[in-house]
Amino acid sequence: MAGTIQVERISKYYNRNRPDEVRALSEVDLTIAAGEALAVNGASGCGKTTLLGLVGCMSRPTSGSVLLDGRDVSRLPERFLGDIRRRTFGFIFQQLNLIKSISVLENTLLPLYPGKLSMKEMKIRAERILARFDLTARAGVKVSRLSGGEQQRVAIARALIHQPQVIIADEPTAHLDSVLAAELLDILDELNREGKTVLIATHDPFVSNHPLINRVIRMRDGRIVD
Amino acid sequence: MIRLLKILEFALSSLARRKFKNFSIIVVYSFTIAVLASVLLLTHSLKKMAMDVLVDGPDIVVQRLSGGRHDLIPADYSGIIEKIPGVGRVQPRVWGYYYDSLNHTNYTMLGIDEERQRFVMVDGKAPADDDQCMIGQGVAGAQHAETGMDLLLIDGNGIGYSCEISGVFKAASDLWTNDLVLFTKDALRRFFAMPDGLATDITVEVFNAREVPQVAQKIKRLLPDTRPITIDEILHTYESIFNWRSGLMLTIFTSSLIAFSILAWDKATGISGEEKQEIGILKAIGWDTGDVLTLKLCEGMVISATSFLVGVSMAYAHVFLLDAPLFVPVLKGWSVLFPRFHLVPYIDAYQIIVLGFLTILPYMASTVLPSWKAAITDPENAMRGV
Amino acid sequence: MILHPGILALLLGAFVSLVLIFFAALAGVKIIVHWDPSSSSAEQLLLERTTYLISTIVGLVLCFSLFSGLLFLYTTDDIHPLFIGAMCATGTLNANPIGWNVLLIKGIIFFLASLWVIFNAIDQHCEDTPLVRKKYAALLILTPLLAMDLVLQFRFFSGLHPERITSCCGSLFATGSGTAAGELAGLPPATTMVVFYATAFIWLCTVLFCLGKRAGWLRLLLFLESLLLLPLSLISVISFISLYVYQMPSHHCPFDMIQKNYSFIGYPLYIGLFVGILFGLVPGIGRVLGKTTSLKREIEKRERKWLLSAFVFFSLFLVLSSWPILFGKFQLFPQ
Repeated sequence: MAGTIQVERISKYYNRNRPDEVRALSEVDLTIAAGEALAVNGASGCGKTTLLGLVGCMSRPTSGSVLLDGRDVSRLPERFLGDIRRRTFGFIFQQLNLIKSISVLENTLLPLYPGKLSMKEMKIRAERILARFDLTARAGVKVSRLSGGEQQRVAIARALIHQPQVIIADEPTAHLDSVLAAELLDILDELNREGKTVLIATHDPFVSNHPLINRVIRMRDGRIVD
Repeated sequence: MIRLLKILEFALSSLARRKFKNFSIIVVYSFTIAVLASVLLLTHSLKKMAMDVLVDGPDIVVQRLSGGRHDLIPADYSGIIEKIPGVGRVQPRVWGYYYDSLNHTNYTMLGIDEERQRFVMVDGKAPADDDQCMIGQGVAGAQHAETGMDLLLIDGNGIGYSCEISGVFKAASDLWTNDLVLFTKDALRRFFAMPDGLATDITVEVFNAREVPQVAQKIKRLLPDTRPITIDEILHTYESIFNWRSGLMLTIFTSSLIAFSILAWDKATGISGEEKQEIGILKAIGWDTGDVLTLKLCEGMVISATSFLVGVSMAYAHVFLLDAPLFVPVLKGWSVLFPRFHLVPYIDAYQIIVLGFLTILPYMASTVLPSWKAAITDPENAMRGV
Repeated sequence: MILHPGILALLLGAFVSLVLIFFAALAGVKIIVHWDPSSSSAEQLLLERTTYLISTIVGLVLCFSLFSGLLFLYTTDDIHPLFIGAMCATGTLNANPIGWNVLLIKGIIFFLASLWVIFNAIDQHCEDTPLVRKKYAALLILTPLLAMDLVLQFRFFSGLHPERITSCCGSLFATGSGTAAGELAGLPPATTMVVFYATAFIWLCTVLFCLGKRAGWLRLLLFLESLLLLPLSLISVISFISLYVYQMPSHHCPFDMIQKNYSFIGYPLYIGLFVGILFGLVPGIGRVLGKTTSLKREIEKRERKWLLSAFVFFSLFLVLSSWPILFGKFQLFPQ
């Protein structure tokens, strides 16, 4: 099954060879099996977000390599990464990163614009996914008018519209109350059961202890400690 | 292709969301285009009208020179010219200008004999005797004159002269008839106090257009005191005047366009925080630099195309429906050449391409760099909420 | 110097294109020097992102150059009444012969910029972008060409003196006028016709062979044949095709046919010729450049389309130019 991620000895420096050089990750090794649900734990600034960004093809490592289903993507030109990112990953961000001034439906469609699907096929997909998250009635409403929970669900719907193999969530519960957090984790659990790989960065013990999570790794100062 | 259309659709909705900012750009942009387009349409139309008049005119006009200045020409020169092979009709013309100090207008007075049937009468008939005249529609309008009334003029000897208006005529181009008053040749000679046997100039028709220069040379040789002017030379002079005028005005207005491009640059560079954040989101959810760049260029194209359409329509209305009121002060120089008239609508692909080059090209060029700068936003930024 | 709206537009366009391509070339030099695909430094990332800017600029410049070629012909045609003796664009071009060089430069820019855009697109589909350095080196050729375009146009228009009596297509393309163009027009139409149709036939056959076989030498042959066929086609337009289009036994002008009087037949005719030849050149160049596996794969994916385009577009040219010969009332050779 697709969705295996191998991270081999990756390091990431920011502002390399300058006085303000920052080493965000050093020599991290990690293998995530397809269908696994993994939580990355650690204090803020420990390199969690950087690791997720590298795995999710948002940026390239300074050294080391990232293999997606055996294919090394760490040296690909940026123009190929966008495509891979779209096809493989669904992102759920800490700040939901929704465009507030457009409707729920339009937000959900956003990732599909650069692809090959026709507008009609895009809408069919979006309707299906909105129905799944109980948002059909809200499809035409501007995101700024939605409640926090609804916004959360729109963000998830958008992350899933591409039918990605891997869900990457960065501190997804940081701004949520416990009810919403539970609801979110239930959804992730459901997706994981469908066979999707789930990768969550969090320092919230509620997440790490959730039955969804198969494995927890801890990070400190850009390294995996256990 | 599908991708492009979809991104274009997104660009449209994204422009619509930032109504105020984009609307203000479109207003300024279309106004600049409207000004440029007005200059082009106006000069092209004037040129076209003048050409239409000239093309119907004689192939050669023969003037007499005396002391290097235009002088009256003996009418019997036409007999000599007629004998040149290839020459058709040769006609001495009697014409001149008259300034009506009462109405502060200039008239062109033309003597006609047998060619009177060439004029399309709106009212009345051609002058039957030397005490009658007919006037163009423009003159009729300006003077509130109509058939049967008398036209009061001061003749070449300073004596009052009145003649009955026998009819009003019209012609294809306003340029031609607006200031025209027609008399019989004898009446006009008397009016201008012109000696008998002399004419203002002689028109020559040449059967084969290619022979015009040779005929002109022969006339010059046979009648050394004359100056034959060929239609090509007149066209050429008109071309020079019109091109020069419109070129000069365009140069001035192009500088205003460049100023606009700087504004556009400024607007596009100063991408708002909100817009920047949006681009970050798009990049994070899988749009790549090329997609965002396409989006930005589409936006630029939509703005250009909209402004272009609006601007050209505004110019069309300004020039052809309102007769270019904004340019009247600039065009004062022309009023010597042409009195009041209505412009004939005339627009072609060439003008559109020239306008596009002068307006869309600098705009697109000035938005490339800012668009690219916006497009290379790092996707990771969105993750960190920067 | 003539202040004419079209001339202002052309000079402005050439200037803007030059400024754009100059920046692109500067960025290109940086890429040539510092490009290192194995590095993941911020500098390399910026270079990668710069390639988007350069592609966009060259695309725009190509687009501008197409319109500017059209505008140039229109303008030279529009101002012909300024020159005594000129009856169409040819007369204006003769009033200052630099104009012919402007046309030549514009032609070269069209071909180079199109090829650049085509191969850039291919290169960007390869993960290892094997053509990077070659591409940006080619930009360094395109830049001086655009500079020449601006300078020559400026010299052409500023050197036009309306008082000058010029000769027009009637005399330039008149047989026995002693000019090179006159020589072309004076070529015996029958011989030219045979040579042209024979070459065109061989060219079309080569295209078909290329469609059937993968042999590299066939593509190279097609490339050379295209190089030969382009001037030959232009000569044929002057020598005999124009005669049939205008239905006049001595009117050889290659520009009149883009005018309304001839229902703009010149546009599809020249588009067919230039695009057909362009796609005839591409497969050969692809064979020479396609050394890496990734490039080979991308080129093979597209080659069929190129060859078909070449065939279709050139056939359009052939049909349009042969139509009046076969079906027109005008006959050059009385039977």
